[in-house]
Amino acid sequence: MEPGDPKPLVNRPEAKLPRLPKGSRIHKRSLPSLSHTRRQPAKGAATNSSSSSSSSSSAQLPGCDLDGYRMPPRAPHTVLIKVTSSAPFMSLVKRVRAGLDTGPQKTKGLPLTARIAALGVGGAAATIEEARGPITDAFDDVVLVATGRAIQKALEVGAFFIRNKELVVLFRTRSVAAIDDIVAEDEDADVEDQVRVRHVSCVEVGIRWAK
Amino acid sequence: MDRKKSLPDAKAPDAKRKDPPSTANNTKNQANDTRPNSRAVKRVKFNDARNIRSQPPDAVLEDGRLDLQKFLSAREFEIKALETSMRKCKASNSTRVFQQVPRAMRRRTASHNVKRVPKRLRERAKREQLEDNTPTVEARKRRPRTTRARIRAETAKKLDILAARKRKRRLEKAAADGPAVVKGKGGDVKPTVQSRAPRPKIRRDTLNEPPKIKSKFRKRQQNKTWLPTHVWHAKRATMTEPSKPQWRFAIPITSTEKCYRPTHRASGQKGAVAWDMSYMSTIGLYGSSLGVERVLRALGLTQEGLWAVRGQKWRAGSRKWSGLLSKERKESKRIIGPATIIWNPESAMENTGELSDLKKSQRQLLIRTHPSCFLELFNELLKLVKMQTPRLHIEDLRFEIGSIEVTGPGSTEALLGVLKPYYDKPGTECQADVFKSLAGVTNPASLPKDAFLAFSARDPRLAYPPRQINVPDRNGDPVLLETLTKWPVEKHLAPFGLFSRDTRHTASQLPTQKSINRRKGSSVPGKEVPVTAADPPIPVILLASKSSTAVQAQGTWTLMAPWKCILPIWYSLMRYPLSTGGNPRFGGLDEQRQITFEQNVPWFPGDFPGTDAGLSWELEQRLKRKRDWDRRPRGKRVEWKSLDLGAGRKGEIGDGLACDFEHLFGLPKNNTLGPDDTRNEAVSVDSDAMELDRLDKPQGIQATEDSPKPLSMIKHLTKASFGALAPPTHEKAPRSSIITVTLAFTGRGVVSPCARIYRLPPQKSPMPVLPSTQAEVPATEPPPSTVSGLLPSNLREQWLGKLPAKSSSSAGGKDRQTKKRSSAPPRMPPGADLATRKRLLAASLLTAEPQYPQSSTNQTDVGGHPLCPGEEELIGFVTAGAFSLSEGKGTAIGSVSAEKALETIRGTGAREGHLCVVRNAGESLGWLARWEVV
Repeated sequence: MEPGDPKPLVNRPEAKLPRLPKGSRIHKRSLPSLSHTRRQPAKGAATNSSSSSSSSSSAQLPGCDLDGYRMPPRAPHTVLIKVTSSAPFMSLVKRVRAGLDTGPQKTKGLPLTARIAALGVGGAAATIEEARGPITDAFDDVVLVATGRAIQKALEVGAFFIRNKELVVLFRTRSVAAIDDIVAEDEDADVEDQVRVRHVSCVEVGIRWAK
Repeated sequence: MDRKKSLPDAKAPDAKRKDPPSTANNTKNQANDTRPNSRAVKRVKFNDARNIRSQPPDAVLEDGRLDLQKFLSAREFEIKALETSMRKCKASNSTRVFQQVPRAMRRRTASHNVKRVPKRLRERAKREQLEDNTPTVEARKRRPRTTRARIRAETAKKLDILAARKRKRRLEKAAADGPAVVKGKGGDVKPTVQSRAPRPKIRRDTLNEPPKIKSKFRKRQQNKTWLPTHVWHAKRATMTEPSKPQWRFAIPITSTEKCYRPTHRASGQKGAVAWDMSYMSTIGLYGSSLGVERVLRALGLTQEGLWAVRGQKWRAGSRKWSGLLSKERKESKRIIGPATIIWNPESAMENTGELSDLKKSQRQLLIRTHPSCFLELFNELLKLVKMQTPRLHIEDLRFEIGSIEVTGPGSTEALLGVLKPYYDKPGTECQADVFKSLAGVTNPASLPKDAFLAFSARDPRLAYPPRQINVPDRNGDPVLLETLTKWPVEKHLAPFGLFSRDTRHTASQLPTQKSINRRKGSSVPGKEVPVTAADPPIPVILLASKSSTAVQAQGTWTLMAPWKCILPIWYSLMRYPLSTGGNPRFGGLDEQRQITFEQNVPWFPGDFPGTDAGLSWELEQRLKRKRDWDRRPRGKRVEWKSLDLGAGRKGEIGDGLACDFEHLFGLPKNNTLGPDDTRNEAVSVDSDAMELDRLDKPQGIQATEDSPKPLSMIKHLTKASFGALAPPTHEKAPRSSIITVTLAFTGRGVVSPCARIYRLPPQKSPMPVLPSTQAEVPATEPPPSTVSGLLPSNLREQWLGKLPAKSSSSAGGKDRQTKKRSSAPPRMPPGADLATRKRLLAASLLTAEPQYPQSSTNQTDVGGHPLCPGEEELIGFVTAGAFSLSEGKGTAIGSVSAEKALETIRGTGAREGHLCVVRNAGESLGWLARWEVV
């Protein structure tokens, strides 16, 4: 975004959050919705949800993030791993490997001719993939999601898998809305608790088989 | 490898093993063509596989000389033979087909009954049974072994004959009467009088009876009550022993499958765990709002915030309150137990009233509590309620309202898939819409604190089996964000259905499974059966709670519904296909404890020995530990008297099988409970005494129930009241009061329940001793072997030296490291030549020399580890401890004396005052840990 742009980003608003009132503290809630898998909505459902969301908030485009960023579609089989800063490195690597190994059986459920075609398709598909240029979708086999201190760890794990020629590692950034409760420290204090939203930077490391 | 046999011998195993097929069996088999043949073939094949061919050693000798080539080829042949044999053995069907079945589908009796094997494997299993000559055993048709079973079988047979005779007579009579009458009878089936199902009686201010049980199951529930899902659980879980119910319920203890790690995963990473918590007790309280306030204040809800602006939402009925209830005794409070309190919102008409109406307004509350403290709370409530004017009333709703708890990232999804709002049109029930909008929430803890939802759900059997719902990734979805921040449930608050006796009753009259099946059959396949007037709405309340203070810890959903509706909901919940794969798991009492332990949260009643419920739990556990200890052979159990604690101290402190608070506080010992020292003596003297001991124990228990227990003098101190006593003030903690603490080990260490908690010994020596590592101790100080029973004067420093060096204070850490390196003999470098090796060896011998003559074992340290502090430093006991999968190391929860803990904090400051040493009962090694009040 250009510096002269009049519209500020949602996650970097012009007005900062107000100061905390005296004698109160923040209680963080857990990040609400890093769901483990995202199913691609069926066609009917997609139209439904888009219509409902557009009716409820006219400012927002259907299927878009807070920043006006359209989330790339994600495969139904994607394994989502939330990275914590205390997670051991090798444990994450093992979980990623397990996720890659238990990928979808791509020919399952297809008619016989389609299965046979899928078996011999390797070379052609790869060339198409290469010709297409940068990958814009999010059909990853495994996605590591990290915020805050854990970002470094997620990047390290991603970098570990970059060396593997058979894998494609993608790094994406997004922002996640976190909810904070502002609670009075004194239990007998007669103030109502407040709630506010804070935006947290988040890194997604997508890992998938190259072919 | 057996060299004698160079050829397979088919006869040999027959001689060795008793031939299982007897002659009778064989003759039978002969008639059955291929069977004996196949078995013989199999045996030959098996023997062939088992035999490893080898060459006699003299074959390689040629004129007394070794022919190297021949020798080598012979060995090569033998190795190959060994390998093929191993391969063939594995393949020659030494496994049976039921062993391939996934663990969840295995049945104990599958080895003897093909019907216990899944259908696709049944044919093979049948063949294998024939080949192995395994008899098919059906437990049902087994010959009765005991006299009682025989009598029962005979009676059943007689009854069968009688029933058959009666049936026959009736048929004959019907035939004689003629066909016309039969037809008329058929027409009579339609009832002419519609009778209303009786509404169960709920008497107020008194305990109520458990639900009326089918006569078939009545005899098994004489001294306990079954959960609504009892039969389902009894097939899949270890239940409490029939003669020893837990809190007067038959409760699943743990799944029969191995489930420790799967439960950990399902509760934190992926999946969901559900419990049938219908044993939790609910009490209804109703009356004027001012009276209710007085009663609740007397129960310990004294924070002013609750009764002012802060508690407005709670009193309006849009938030719950959870916490510890207490009762007032002579100028002191005693904790009863944890409870959740929900107010029923006033209906819109009543709500219009002015302030003057406030006094008159009638309110209803639900108090949900643990069954172990139910009676205590009920009696206390009854006492308080009777004191109020105008009179309040309480209702015992234990068997009216059941509950299910679900936790894990998939819990919200599973509940959304099972509980469908009764009213289709959005806007009819505001809270149902809020519930529906929660799709995509992976943690109930991300809801506002103390939030709950109350709405009516439809019968889950109409959409059975449940289908997977569409879970969108709704990160940053403003709609969800608004729901979670604003929590728009206050808009149309109306009285909840679950509070109304009539609504609960109508919900209990669900249509029969038969009628639902019929409706399903007549509707289009794959479509949900539409709701009709025959399906009553099920009033539910969904509580979202978070027990742990950690930010990312999983919360728990608690679903409260009428007792009779729990079973259909449970069936659906267990079948719900989660989007992350698999179904929700179920858990028992052990899993409940495991998850609270992993979240570092004390579990009621086990971790609250300062309450009456916790006390009786502790006494129960003592008896159980004693029983287990008694059962072990003498050589394999801990002999408490001979435990060597080092520095000449012998014997375990107090009773090793108990969290011995009597010893800690110097309370009078209760002789009949737990094995105290004199008991131990008697046991070790002769076994007859032990027999007697066992015999008279039951009487002892009864006796203690009558007399006041010395342990009941112990009081539990909450975190808040302990915090009020902390350093700036100089008040003393009440006598024999305890606080519950979590213990985090600074380094190694895993402890189990009953472990002893010590504070660090005080600074003893007047002259300052430099902090030294353990390795230096024997070198710098002469071993005080002459003065037995004297602990080293620098014990405190030794323990503080065990603290891991912080990376920030790098200087100290480096110092320690260099010291360690200098004190330990240098390691032999890998590529050292002989001269260097000699030099190093000589150096190591020289440095090691001062250690001779070695002091007697455990005099100053335990193999380089500091000794345990003395008995006067004992401050408490561990009530739960294990290796925690969430922490990746051992953690524990314990109870320590508030008085001594305060003393330590005041004496040594907050940092070192929170350090403690934890030692397993019966072991001499202690581990350094840090305690935190919870």
